[in-house]
Amino acid sequence: MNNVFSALWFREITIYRRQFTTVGLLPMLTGVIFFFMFFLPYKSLLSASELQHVLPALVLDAMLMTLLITIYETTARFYWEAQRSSGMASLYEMGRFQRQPSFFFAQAAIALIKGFMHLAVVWLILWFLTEMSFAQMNVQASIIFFLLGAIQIAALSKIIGLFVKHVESLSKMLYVGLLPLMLINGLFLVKGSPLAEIPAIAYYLPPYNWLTGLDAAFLSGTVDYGFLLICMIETIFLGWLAATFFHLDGDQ
Amino acid sequence: MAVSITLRNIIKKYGDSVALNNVTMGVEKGHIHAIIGTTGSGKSTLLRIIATLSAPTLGSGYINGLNLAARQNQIRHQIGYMAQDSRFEESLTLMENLTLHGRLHGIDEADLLNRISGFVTRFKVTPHIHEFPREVSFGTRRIVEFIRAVLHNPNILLLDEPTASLDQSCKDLMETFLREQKSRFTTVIVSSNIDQVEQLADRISILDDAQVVADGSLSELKETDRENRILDLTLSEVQEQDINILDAQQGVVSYSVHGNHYEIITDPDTPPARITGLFQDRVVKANPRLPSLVDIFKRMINLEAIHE
Repeated sequence: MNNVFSALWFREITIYRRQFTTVGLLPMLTGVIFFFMFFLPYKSLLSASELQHVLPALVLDAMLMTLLITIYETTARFYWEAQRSSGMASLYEMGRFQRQPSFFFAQAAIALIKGFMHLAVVWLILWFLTEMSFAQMNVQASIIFFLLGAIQIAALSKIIGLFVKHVESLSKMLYVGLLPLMLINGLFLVKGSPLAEIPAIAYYLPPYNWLTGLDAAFLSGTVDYGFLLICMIETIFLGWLAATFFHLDGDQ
Repeated sequence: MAVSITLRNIIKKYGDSVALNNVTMGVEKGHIHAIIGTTGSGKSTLLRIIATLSAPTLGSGYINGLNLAARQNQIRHQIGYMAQDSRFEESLTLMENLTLHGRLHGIDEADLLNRISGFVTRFKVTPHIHEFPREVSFGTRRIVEFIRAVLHNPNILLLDEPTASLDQSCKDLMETFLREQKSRFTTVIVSSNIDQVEQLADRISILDDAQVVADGSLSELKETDRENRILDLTLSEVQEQDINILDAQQGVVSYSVHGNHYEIITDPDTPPARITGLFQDRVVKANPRLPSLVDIFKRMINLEAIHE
């Protein structure tokens, strides 16, 4: 495990430094841009007290957007390359094949570290710009939801990266698949605001329990154990599903 | 001597097409085993099966006593593999590619740097080592791939056309290394370069149409062709009646003409002097010899054979 983590970390850091604009700046910028796309109209339409009420939800969504894009880009691209790009494939085939649990977990750990690092940077930027205090965020209550959601994204990204044939399709899957799923479930949009039927649809979509539980924990500091339990079960299921697709066959 | 690689009745099918048909072979520890054959005869497929990158449809195999089907991860750590096509993580420099590979194999940092530095100096790629794969010549890429294959000290080395399209200096570097370090590795090399195979290999398997049609040391393979002798004859001029003379001559099995050069296959009882005497003062050069690996290869795969 240590070898694989060390090797993949070395690769990730080297590429991160070299392609910072694409793999570092853009995911963070996307979260910040989305934040301002909603914050500026609200600012002109709402009173100061109403804005203070909306602000934490917008900050949360900006962080989630960053988390989603960072983990997805890191994981899905990695597995696409490990599967489809002959350069990566041969190297990993002959070293530690992706079917080994160490590879599976090391890559997920790297994606999560990167995702939360970006999330923290986005929060710092927004804190500086909006002066929204740390106390308003109920971090303690929401951290478990953040973590479970991040693992769910990583598991889904592994599966998508494994099955997508063309590298261009990775972006399509994000913008046509994952992002709309999260938008319907309340990422930047109030559930049911565009269509009254949306909450009924959202209820059956994968991120529902996670995002609803996270909203409650982050915004009001209330941990709904029902959502937490379902979210945990979903995370375990997605992790199992990803591991099944990878046919994990044990480290030697 | 201990056997490192054993393959028994390997069959590999892709749909209806048979890539390998009942291949059985063994490679002894510390030996260089060459696989030669025509395009599409299954050479690379065989190498990928030994490398555990492709599973046989039927048959069994053992690498250092480990079952190919059941102990793939353990086997992979003992293997250094160089694929036929050049393969790199293009976002990393050559040095970073080697570092990544070394780390994946758990080599500690100081040792890894020492090893890389030693190999890079030996193979004369120091000036390019911090460049990206796309920025360097094909030869440099292949050399670095070769370094990567041996970097983690594998005891089995699988090389798929390692020197194809390389200049002589690159070939020499690799061949010298393989000769010098022969005892460290059990090497299986797929090569179209028959001269190289003749010089390097302890044992040779000839593949044709998905099957091993011959297997043995160079001398053993030559022994199978012992009924024939070859006379390379260069004449000052070729005359029309030469063909009639050769056709009528007892002991001449076959012959081919290339300009004013004749390659004449005779039975072992026909002395070369009897043939050269037929052309008298027109003979510029006469070289009687045993069949070479190229001749044996051609005969085995039923190409334009020496028995024309």
